[in-house]
Amino acid sequence: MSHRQNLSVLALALLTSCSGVPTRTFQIDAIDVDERAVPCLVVIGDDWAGAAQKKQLVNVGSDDTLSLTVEFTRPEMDIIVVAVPMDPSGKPRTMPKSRIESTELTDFLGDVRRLRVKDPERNLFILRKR
Amino acid sequence: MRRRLCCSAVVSLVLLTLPSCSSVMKVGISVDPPSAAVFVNGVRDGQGARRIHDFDFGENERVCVQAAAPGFEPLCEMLTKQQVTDQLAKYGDFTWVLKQEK
Repeated sequence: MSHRQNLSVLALALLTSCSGVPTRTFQIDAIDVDERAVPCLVVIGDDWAGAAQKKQLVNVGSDDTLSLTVEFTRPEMDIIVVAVPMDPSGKPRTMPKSRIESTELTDFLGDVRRLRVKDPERNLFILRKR
Repeated sequence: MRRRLCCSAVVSLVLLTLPSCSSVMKVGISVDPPSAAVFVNGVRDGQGARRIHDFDFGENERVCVQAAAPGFEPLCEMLTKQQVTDQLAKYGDFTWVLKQEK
């Protein structure tokens, strides 16, 4: 490979890496106003099906946080956190498909936050009852 | 002797400049009710009675301040360094009053 070809490949590689969509991994947690952990589904944008399929859940089974990697296709991305109804065995009874459905099933109002790529890593959502 | 004085002056200058380079801001916050829990960047940082909190911007563009109390609507503010600077210059502390749930 000639020197010129090498440079072209390098330039192409640099261009590709620069034009990628920025991503950021956030730590998501959810509590209620009494500071108790609330089992929740975490939705990026309006992708409710994707959230359920990828099991983007927090506080299900144990009090934990969710590592959520967000692709910033826009400067700000909406993150929606809604409560999930649980069955007595501690598993989600169903996955809500909207904020309204979650409220009907759990009595909790969902919360939404518009995040930027350079926002703090840890994001706490505080849900309240309707 | 002159060299030593020069070095001392440079070290003093660096030390004086350091605080202004820090990404941490000292910010007074009061929340009504005072029993409200206050969170900075998702971490509990005391209660609502007036006290100084550290806002560490680090690499971040904004800090997230939240307050919550039973029977009240939770509050969440995403603040840029500029917004915090303006607030401190114009009004001093941040004061928030949580709305009672209906």
